[in-house]
Amino acid sequence: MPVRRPPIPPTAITRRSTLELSSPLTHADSDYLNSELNEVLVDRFRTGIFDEGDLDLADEILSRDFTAHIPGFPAEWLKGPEGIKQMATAMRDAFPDVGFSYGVIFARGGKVVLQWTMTGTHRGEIFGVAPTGKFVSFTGTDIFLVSPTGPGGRIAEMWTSWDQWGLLQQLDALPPS
Amino acid sequence: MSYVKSEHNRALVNRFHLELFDQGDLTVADDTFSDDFVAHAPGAPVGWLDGVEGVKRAATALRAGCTDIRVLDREDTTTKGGKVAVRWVMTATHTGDLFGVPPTGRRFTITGINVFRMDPNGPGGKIAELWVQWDRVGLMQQLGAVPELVAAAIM
Repeated sequence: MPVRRPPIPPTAITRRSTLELSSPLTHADSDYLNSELNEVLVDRFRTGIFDEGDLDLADEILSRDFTAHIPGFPAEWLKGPEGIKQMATAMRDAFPDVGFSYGVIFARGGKVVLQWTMTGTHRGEIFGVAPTGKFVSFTGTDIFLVSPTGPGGRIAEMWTSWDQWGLLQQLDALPPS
Repeated sequence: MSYVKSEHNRALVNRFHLELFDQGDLTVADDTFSDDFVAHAPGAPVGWLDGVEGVKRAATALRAGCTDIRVLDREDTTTKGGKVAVRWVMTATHTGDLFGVPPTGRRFTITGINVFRMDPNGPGGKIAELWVQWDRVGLMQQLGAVPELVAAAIM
């Protein structure tokens, strides 16, 4: 049987909020192409909303017409700040000790490319799988688009491709490779 | 210094997708990948995709499992320094053994995101590293190869 390659950190520096988190939340209109500010927004998304469960951040950093494109997720999780709150709540209910470690691959022109590894212990139902108590670790890639919508730059759109197959295998819901 | 030139890198990635997978020209791997190329693809056996030979192995396996392969890079391909991030869409017809699933004749469409790192030392900047993420669950659903209980629960 093939050996699963363990998640490998991206070549970019893996960081958890080395950026100053007390910096202003929203950009000036002209700042939406500022890569450093955009990295702060993206850090708030992964660390603030998902790691720490600060759901109110969704209203601050996402545009009202925010859209996520993520295979395998219910449509209602993909629309607006409310959708992201549902998504984060569902993930945190399923994996209460959820942790994201990530590396910014690069940020340019309103876009931020991120590679992440999510870990957590399976304590609640997710994707129809009853809690198994298993510790899981799986990877994904995000591309965020920041736009000058609303009062300054906010995340307007995101695309994620992630290893849902690997997660379901680790939960014994699918046979091993 | 061509390894940091966005247009060079974009063209390289496009050749990889178009000529290697669409057209099955394996020699493209020699031109576009460095000898010590490393791939990170969830679920792939360790080393299976590494090196020019690994790229050829993957292309050969895919082309043995399906025909009429079309890989389209989305227009928002982003590059910076020696890195390229591409959202892609692949359509194909399942006419051979694919990830252990016998041929179904079904047409399928899957999406993914590839991140490439170019080799700064190579002649003309070849692809040195690749991180692949793609929707394997979506593929298996379209091939009818996901266990029923799981298929009912996931989108």
